[in-house]
Amino acid sequence: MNERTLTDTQIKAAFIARSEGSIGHDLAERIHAETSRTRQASRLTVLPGGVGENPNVGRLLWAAAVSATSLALVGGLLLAGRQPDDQAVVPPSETPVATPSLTPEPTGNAAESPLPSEPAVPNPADPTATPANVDPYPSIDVDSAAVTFVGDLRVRSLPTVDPSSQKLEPLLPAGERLLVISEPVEADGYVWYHVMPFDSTYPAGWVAAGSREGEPWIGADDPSCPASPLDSGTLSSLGAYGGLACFGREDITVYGVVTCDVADVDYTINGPSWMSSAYACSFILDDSQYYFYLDGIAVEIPTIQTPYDVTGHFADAQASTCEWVFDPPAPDQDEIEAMCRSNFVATEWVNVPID
Amino acid sequence: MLFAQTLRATVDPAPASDLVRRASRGDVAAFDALVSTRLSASLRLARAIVDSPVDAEDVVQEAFVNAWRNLRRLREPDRFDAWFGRILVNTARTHVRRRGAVRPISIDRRVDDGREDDTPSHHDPGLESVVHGDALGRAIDRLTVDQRTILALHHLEERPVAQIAAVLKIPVGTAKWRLHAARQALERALEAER
Repeated sequence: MNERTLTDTQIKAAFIARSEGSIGHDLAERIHAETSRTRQASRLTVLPGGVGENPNVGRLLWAAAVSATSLALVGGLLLAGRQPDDQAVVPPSETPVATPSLTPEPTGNAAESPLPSEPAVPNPADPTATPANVDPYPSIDVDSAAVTFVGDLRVRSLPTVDPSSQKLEPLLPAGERLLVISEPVEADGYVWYHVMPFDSTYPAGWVAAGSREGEPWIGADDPSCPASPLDSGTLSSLGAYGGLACFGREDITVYGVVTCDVADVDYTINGPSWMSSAYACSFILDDSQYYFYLDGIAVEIPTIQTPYDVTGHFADAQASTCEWVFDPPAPDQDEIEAMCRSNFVATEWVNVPID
Repeated sequence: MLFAQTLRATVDPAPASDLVRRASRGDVAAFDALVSTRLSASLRLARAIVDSPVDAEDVVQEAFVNAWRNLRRLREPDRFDAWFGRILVNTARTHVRRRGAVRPISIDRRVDDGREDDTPSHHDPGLESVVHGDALGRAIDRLTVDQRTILALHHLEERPVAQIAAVLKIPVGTAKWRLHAARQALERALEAER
C-alpha cells in the first residue's frame, strides 16, 4: 500500500463532494422554530428546562428554573434572571414599593387578602399594629413542600409589609407548590415563609402563611412520594424540588438511561466539590433531561447513552458551602443553599446490562 | 478553517460575539443570524461524519438547538465557534452511535463464506449510505465514525491537531496517532475500492 496515493486536497475534495445534496432547504426555518419554543438553560447547569424568559421572574429565576414539567433539577436557574445585563430583571432594591395595605379583599368579602400588601382596597389600618391572631398555622419544615390554598398570593423580598420589602411579580396562583427553605418568621401580624415555587415562572421570596384572622393561605403539601428505587421519569415528575422534599438526605437509587458531556459551565454558584466536576450527566427522558451532579464518580467522555442504577441523595452536606461567585447582586443566601440542596448528587452508579 | 472562512465570506453586520451575547439573553433573531452564517459549514462537517444528507440535517438541527439551550453556559462569547464545533461533532458521533448505523466494513470485501462480495458496501440497507460517484467517497463510507470524524476535522475543517484533540477530548499524542491511523484506513479502503 502506498500511503502517498492520497493528498490532503483530494481528501478535502472528497469530503466536500460528500456533502453535496446536503442543501438544508428549510433547515434554518426548522432550527428557528425549534429554538423559538426551547427554553435556554441557566448558566449554572445544563438544564434543558431552564430559565423562563419572563422578565418578572427575575428575583430567583434560578430557583425556579426547573419546573415540575420541565424536569430537572438543576442547580442553577439562578442565573437566568440574574444576568447583569438583563434589564428586564428588576433587582429588589430598585423597585418602588407601594404603601402596604393590610386588609385587601381579593374575594370581595371582609376576609383579609392573601396579599399582605396589595393596595386593592384602601387600608386605614396601621401596618405595624399588633396582630390579633398570629400564629396558628401548622409549621412547615424546611426543605418540605408547601402549597398555596388561595390565588393571587403575593411574594415579597422580605418578610414584612414594610416598603423595604419589594413586591414581586407575578402573584402565585392557588395550588402552586413551594419549597420551604427557612424557618418561619413572624412580622407585621403575619407568619412568613421563605419559599421557592416549583414553577420557575414565579419568584422566590417570602409569603404570608395566612391572614391575621387565621385563614390559611398556604399549608404543608402532602405529595405521594415514591419509594426507592425509582425510575428517572418518576423522579422527574416530582418537580424541581420534589426530590428534596420527598427524600431529603436519604440515599435513593434511580434507574435510567444516562448520558454525560463536558460541562462547559460558567458557574455562578460555587462551593461543593461536586459542583466543580468537569462533567454534566443527566437521565435521558422522553422529551427532556434530568441533570445531576457527580461526587467521586469517574466519567469517560463521550458517554454512550446507557442504563444505570444511580445512587445518590439530595440535601448534600456541602450545600451549606454554596456561595454566589457571579456578578452582584447576589440572591439571598438561603435561596442559594436551598438550590444546592435541591440537586441530586450521585455517589455511585452501576451499569445495567441490556438484555 | 471552513468555519472561519465562512464567517469571513459572509457579510455580518453584527460581530459574532455580540450576536452570541444577545442570543444568550434569549434573542432568537440574533441566534438566527449565528445559524445562517454557519449553516453551510455545519452541514458539510456533519455530512462528513454521518451517513446521509438527511441525518446531517438532523444533526445540525439538534446541535444548534443544543447550543441555543446551553448558550448561557458559554463562558466566552468569542469562543462560540470552537464551542459549537464541539457540540456539532459530539452530536454527530452520538447520532451515528445511537442509530447504530455505522460499523466498520471489511476492507477486503469478503463475505463470511470467503466469496468475493460484489455488492457495494453502501448498498447495505443498514448503513443508509449515499452512493458516491468516486472511489474515494466510497472509501470514506467504509471508515468508522471516529475515523471519519478525525479526518474531517483535519482535512475538511483544517483544524490543527491540538484543536482536534480539544474537540475530541483526547491527548494531542493520541489525536496524532488516531489521525495517522485513520489516514491509513482510508488508504486501505481506497485500494479496496479500486
